[in-house]
Amino acid sequence: MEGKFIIASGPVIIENGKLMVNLDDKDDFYKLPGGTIEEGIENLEQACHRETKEENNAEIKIIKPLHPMVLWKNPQTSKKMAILLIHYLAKLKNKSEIKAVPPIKEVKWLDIKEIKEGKHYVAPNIKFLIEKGDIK
Amino acid sequence: MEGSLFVKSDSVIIEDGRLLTAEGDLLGGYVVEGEDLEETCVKKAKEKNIDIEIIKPLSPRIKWGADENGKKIIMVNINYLSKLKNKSEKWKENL
Repeated sequence: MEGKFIIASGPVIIENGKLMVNLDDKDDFYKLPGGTIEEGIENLEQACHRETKEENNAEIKIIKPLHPMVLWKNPQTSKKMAILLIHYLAKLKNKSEIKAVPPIKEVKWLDIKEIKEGKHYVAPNIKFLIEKGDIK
Repeated sequence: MEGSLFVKSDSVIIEDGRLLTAEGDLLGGYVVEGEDLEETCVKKAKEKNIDIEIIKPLSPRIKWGADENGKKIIMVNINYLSKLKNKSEKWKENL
């Protein structure tokens, strides 16, 4: 694949039937913490740790890999590009210290049952992980 | 990011302590535009006449590099623990 692409890595953090999500200043839907890997200098797990720390001041422990997802166009712009999303089940090591670090506007725990019922506007990869049984 | 991205989707099949390989590599292949990661994994095995069932994702890996002209190359390996659905006696002999 030639051209523009995004490789992002993020954690799926679930506690008491609730999923930790962020709302940022770019999109109007809730998304998993995490973000794009730093080119050439880190691996996928390192990016997951770093992004979660940057966005939420969260220290995490990665438990296992979950289903990765590839998108072939930007869901917002419909522009053709490859977006590879890597997911890890993780747990928080410092729950009391998590916060929304700008440009994250809000960090929230969404009830998974309510997400399944369509009560929250969430990112496509959250729906994908529910379909795969990784978020349940 | 810009450059050349190669995504390889492979199955990891282990039976009786042995790893199934094809031509010295894991069973699988490169994902082409528009294709799903699991679809590629299953399709590439099928091309070798092997029916597989994906069990769960394993740890992915990223590698960074450049071609002879300095153009960026990124390789991502997506791996799935899988099992054979049609293990024939012939395959059994090869394991």
